[in-house]
Amino acid sequence: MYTRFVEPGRLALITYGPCAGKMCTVVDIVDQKRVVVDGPESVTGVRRHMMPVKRLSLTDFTSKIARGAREKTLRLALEKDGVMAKWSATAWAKKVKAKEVRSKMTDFDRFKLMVARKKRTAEIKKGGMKKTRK
Amino acid sequence: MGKAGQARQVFRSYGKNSKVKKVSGTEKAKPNISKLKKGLVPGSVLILLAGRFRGRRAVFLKQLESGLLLVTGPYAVNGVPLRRVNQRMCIATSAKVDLKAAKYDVTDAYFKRDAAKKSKKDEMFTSGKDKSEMSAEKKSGQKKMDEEVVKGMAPDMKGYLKARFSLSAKMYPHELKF
Repeated sequence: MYTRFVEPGRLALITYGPCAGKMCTVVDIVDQKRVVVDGPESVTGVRRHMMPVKRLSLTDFTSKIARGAREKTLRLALEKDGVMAKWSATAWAKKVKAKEVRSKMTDFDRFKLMVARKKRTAEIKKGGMKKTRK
Repeated sequence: MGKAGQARQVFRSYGKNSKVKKVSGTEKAKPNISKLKKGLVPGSVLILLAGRFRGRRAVFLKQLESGLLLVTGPYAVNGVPLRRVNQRMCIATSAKVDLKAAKYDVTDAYFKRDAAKKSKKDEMFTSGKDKSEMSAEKKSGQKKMDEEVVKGMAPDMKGYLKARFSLSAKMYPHELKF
């Protein structure tokens, strides 16, 4: 049963193109393949523009807006429903963020990470830490 | 006019033509030393990619007149001595070490080999080459020059310089950020 519909207010992740990796809200529907999408720009940095649905990964979250809502209305609706906060709390969002952090690591960061992981496994092996992950 | 086969248009001039200007000895252009890579600053950590110390991380000190980069371990930290390295043979990382105005008065002449004048015949028959060791003064000089830098270095930076760099599974250099 489909639950993630393309509708005004649907939060989506852009997966391709210049805005890849950013969140946006569907604001209006053009035809079977295209939608109008807006960040809003002040929230996610995505300008209002038309985009093929193919480039979007729909999420479970919507905000209550009328179709074609403008920036201010959009922004207020997002704040009211706490959509962005709900999104950041999901496992999906955390994975996206973790991937981003990993890609930005410098060589020195990678070294520090390696040292930290070694320390962690040494502690685990000693039995000092309870295994929180399988 | 069409040309047959691989013939190329040849512009020949016989005798002294006023068009061709001869460059006098004094006017010869000095070759420019290679430009430093973006983000390479004295104190940057480099990953050496070739030579005896490949895979080691060393600190970049300055660019010499020959265009090569002067680099040091520092020796006390990871055993890489004062060395010259070609820019192309190293990766510049974004990590930086504070050089604390340590003076490295080293030029290309420091690295010149002493030409041992032996006749060819003798060389062939002498048993074993005598390894050229660094003079004691060079060793102590290096130690002195590195002292300031090593003293002020954070322990995780020391560990970083001691560690070797290598690629493992799923590490694609063109996707890595250094």
